[in-house]
Amino acid sequence: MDVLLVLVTSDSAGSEWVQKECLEFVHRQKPVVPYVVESQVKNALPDYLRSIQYIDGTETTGFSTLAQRLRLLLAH
Amino acid sequence: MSLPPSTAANVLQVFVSSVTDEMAPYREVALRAIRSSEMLPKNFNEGAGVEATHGKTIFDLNRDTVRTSDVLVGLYGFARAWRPYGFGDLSDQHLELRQDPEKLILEYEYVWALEAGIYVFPFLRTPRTADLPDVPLDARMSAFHSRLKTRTVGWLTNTRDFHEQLVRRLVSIRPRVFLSYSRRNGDIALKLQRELRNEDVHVWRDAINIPLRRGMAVSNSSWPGADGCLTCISHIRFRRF
Repeated sequence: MDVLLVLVTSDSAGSEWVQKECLEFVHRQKPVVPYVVESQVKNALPDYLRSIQYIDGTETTGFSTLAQRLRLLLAH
Repeated sequence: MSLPPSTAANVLQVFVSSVTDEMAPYREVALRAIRSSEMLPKNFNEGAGVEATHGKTIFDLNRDTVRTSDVLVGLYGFARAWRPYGFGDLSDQHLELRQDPEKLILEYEYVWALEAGIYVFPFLRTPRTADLPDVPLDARMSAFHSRLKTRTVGWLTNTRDFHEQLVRRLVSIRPRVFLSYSRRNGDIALKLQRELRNEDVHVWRDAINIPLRRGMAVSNSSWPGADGCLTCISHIRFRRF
């Protein structure tokens, strides 16, 4: 897999397995794209995601921004 | 720290739906194309030879096998396929079978695949399709062909062309994005996966190995059948991680 897309919710933010997958991609220097779909999580991102720019899925343009970012990453 | 190794649970699983005898040459080619695309073919023997287990009927198992696949490849010929209604006591256990006693298993599999939102690649036999036995077109199959033709279908011309067509389609959906999510957000993840598919971004979402709670996971037990396909039965087992 070339890119990791993280569905960020209050549930996934506390998931040990999601963290493992994320750190594995970071370790392999592969792009990680956090996609936040719950407003309350924006201010409570887990440490391992804080330094990565996330896409705000709660905004109306969130999904199109996500699709665009993924296409761009896959084109490289 | 490392992710689980590549297993039957984390490669794309492709269910092949067809009448085994009539479509044997194309079925063989389909299995070859699936393997050469680094995917895993799955099978379900039509009724006979499959035993009910874990309190589930063969109809349940067949449905589970389709729903836990990522892709359905339908090879639709002329011969009448197996009909679950009237097989043993299936119609007593599955009242929905009584709604349309003539409904073929191929039709059920197709509908299950659409409901599950998996990729569906139907291929139809025509009078000019090569390499197949001479079989008259069954009336029910003819009606099914007509319904299938309201969507995009592939045409079976010869086995060589079919191999090229299928490999091209399978390679085009090979996912390059891994979706990481919590089990509690399975519905959101599935919706996101489908929406991205419409944008031609193919995402891998592991719905099989995702932990239920620490140390447990939903999984499939799988074993190779005589034709090298996997026959799968869903159950819950422990998993190490």
